[in-house]
Amino acid sequence: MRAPMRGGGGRGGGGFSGGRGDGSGRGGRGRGGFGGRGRGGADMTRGGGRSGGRGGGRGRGGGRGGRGSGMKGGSKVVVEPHRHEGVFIAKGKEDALCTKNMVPGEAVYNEKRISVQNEDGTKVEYRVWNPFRSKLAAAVLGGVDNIWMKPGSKVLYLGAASGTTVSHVSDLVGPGGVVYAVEFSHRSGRDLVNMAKKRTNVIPIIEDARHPAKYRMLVGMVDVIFSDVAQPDQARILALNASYFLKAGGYFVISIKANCIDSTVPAEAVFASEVKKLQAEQFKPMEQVTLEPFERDHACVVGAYRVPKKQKPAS
Amino acid sequence: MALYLLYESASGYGLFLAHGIDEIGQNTEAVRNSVNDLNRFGKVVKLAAFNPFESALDALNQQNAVSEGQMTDELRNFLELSLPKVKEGKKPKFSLGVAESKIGSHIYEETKIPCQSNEFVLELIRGVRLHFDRFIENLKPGDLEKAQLGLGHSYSRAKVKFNVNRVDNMVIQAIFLLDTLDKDVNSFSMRVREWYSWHFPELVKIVNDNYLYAKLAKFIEDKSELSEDKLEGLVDILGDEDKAKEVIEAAKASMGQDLSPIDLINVKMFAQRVMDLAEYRKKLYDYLVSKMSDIAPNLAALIGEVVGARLISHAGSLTNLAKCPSSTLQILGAEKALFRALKTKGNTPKYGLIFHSSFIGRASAKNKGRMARYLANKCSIASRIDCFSESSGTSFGDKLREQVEERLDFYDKGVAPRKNIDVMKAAMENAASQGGEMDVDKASEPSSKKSKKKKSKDNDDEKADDKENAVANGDDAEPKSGKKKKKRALEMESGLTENGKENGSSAENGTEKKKKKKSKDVETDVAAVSEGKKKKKKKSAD
Amino acid sequence: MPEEKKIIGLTWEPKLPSLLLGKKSGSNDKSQNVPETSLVYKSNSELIDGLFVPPNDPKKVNKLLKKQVKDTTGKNWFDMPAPTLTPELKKDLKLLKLRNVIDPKRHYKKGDSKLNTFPKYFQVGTVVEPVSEYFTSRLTKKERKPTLADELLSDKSLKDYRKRKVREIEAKNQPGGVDKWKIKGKASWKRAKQRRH
Repeated sequence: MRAPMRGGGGRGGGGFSGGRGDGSGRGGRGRGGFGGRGRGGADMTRGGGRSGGRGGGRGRGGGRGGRGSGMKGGSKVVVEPHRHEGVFIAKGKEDALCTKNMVPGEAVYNEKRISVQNEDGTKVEYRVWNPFRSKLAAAVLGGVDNIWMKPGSKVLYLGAASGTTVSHVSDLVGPGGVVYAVEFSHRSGRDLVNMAKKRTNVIPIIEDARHPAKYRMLVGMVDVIFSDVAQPDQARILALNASYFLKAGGYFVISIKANCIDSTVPAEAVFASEVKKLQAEQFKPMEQVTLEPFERDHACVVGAYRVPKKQKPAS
Repeated sequence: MALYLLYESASGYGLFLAHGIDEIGQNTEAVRNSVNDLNRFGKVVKLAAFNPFESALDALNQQNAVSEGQMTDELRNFLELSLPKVKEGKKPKFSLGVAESKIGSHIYEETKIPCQSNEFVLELIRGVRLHFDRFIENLKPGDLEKAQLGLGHSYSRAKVKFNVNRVDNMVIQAIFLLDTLDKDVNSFSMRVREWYSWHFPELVKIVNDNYLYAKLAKFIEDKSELSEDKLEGLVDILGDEDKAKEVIEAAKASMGQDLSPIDLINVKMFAQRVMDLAEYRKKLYDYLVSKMSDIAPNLAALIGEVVGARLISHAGSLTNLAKCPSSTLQILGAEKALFRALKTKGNTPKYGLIFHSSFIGRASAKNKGRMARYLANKCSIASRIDCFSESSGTSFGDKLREQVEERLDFYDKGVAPRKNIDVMKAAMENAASQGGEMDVDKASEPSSKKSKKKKSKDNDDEKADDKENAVANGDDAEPKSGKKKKKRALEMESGLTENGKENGSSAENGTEKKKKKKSKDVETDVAAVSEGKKKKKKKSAD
Repeated sequence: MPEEKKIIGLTWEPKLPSLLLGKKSGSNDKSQNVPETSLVYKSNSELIDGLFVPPNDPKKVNKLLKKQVKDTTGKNWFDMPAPTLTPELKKDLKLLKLRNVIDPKRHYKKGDSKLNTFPKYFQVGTVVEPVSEYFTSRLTKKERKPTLADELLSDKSLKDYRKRKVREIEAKNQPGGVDKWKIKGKASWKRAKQRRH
């Protein structure tokens, strides 16, 4: 059942966490702090944005010893379902995106958690999803139409790093889904394996994503591929993995960093060229969102794979 | 021409026969359309044979072989068993489709089975992957995922060399348990004393040690039975004949009440428990010491096992401890005082958990702060070496400890400490001779990779030969990438210019970024530079 | 109003089986969504006031079973239950809609402005700060309050603004001219009406 939405189809949400960022932000980021790493941030002007939680840094206000912004430990919030399945919003003096914690009582990367007591006595916990650290959260707050991941789906995650976003995807798909997390670096791989020990729906794969044949024994057919590899040939990597593991009619979500593809060309041109490359490989890009207030020169492209051709009704 | 398909899954090898290809046509497009529907696909492809893996170890071996494109014996047996025989001289009437050409060529070399891996085969394998769990009847729905999970974990752990012995969780748990045990043993001992004093009050004043008291209580039991023949036993326990005689005297003139045998048995059992706990605490301490030498030998050699374990447990893990800057390490454990001082703009604390190491105690009052900072710097270096180095030995820890001792001497008596470069060179030679890993003769290579101890040592040798008195940072020549504190760059530049010898690479060094995990040279250099400025100036003037 | 869950202390009505079939779901919620195996025997825990007589009519039984299905968001949002709206909860939800005016320096995006439509599925929770932020972003025990409304009430910085604004509004609503002298006291009708602006 679709979560009932108030207020215009899920856009135009609530307020913003104004942290005490540095006063001198860049250009249009002067007033009102934005949390996380103390960047001064402006109000988000994108449609359909919901604000992100503050990435808890120490306060930079002079000599105050650092007071965290609105969402302090012990404050009360109201958790509502988000338009996207499996995602929730916590509303209080500030809003934050959150996912339901599969391992209650534990934080993966020192994020805030929200503890709820139901009327029948059971306890539920949600973990705040930081859009500054996670490209997927930034895309959701940037107003992407559909992330195609929902509770019970199978996701192949390329570029898992230490597993911070992977943990949120694992929360999203719930115990009924599976997340295959591929990461090549051994340092991050260690953290990934440790995180996967607690979450039984994450399968860590320490292997190069350029050679999906090497881990073909470990992966089944997936519904969605999420790619955050930051390599110049990421379109080819995605295509190769999709040809092995993505079901026909499946979807892909790829985060493109303009700097890493080609730093001399303006960002929009890079994104356009990547979209073209994807179109050449049986992908059908459907939407593109910039991750603007959270990351610079990043974009997120969402689309479908091997869309089945509509059968023309025989006349 | 029959087309077989080899499908490797986490639960076993599967062989499929594509028998309906003629019906759907030979092109990939047709296959794609048929894949989605299980009924149609079932007509195209059917299961020929399935060989489940025997054990998790077997599965791991197969996965390793598959990832490298090699064929194992089990695979070979499976294929030879399930496929029709390839007769000598005759061209085989079937072909085996595989996902990767490398393994295909290997199979052909070994068994003369012709393999192919083109797009057509890949499409068929996609279909098999999609419907695999329906093909195999024995597999229940969740089984394949469980197999994938187990195999994925074991493969990844092998890759990151997940060494069970180097897990720092054990140390954290052990130190918590040690603290709890201490409290508990203490409260239980108090209880024994009170309880037994009902019967024999004078014993409390004679024997002060908790453990001895418990032992005595267990040995004596009923004080009325205490006589001269038990003197031997008492001397064994107490170690002192006078005290033993005192005990016997006190027993004769004791004011305590008599206890019934059952009560005495209870006291004895309780005393036994206390003794067991005390012994267990000792064993736990030994365990902690051995674990610390496994996971963080340098840190343990520098500040001792207990303080090291406390630091690790406070930071959360060895990696967290290594990641935090040395100023944080200095005041780990004094957060309340720190934040209070920050909020009220007072003076921040000078030491936290580090205070309990012996060095701070030995420093004079006005040097405690300086020693704390110096010690924290060295601890930071030691913890980083422990966390990120592949080998484990205590050579660096010992040398760092010597440096701290020398620094203490310097504050006390003014004895000049050795130069950091010399100490580190000696440490690396030690490590090399111990581990045999370091290649002493390796020529310096320009490397843009993360610095390994090898490289820094090589550059060390070069620079040390060139300039005798320069405070050369061994790693300078290598361009590196990573984060680096600006302060360090400024300090180094100032330190170098002081000496008046511009090291070309060090100038370039100042503008470069470095990884936090940089070799100890830089950090100790900086500390040495800022501390011993005058001496170095003198030397360079010579 | 049909009570779907047992709420202690809110309202009480005698649960007459013949009149209000829907209410039986209150006790049946305890047993899971398993349809009753025996329509005749019910253990003591499932009887309300010992008066429950199961209906014979299959239509009514179906109705009962349908009422037993818990009102949640479904498996796509992990079965978030719909809480019963108490006046405190309503106050909190209203405050969330009005948070634009609580602090003059904070500005929020425009949500839906209908003051009386509340979300059906939501949960109220408390933020648990990460261990590393124990000293920075954490409310003390005295500062923690049971509801959002209490937290905003006890916030000193907002209190002055709120007081000032309330005074301004009251002053604006004070009648000028002759009417002012007609205010006789607490007993005066008109004044109460004016106060209620």
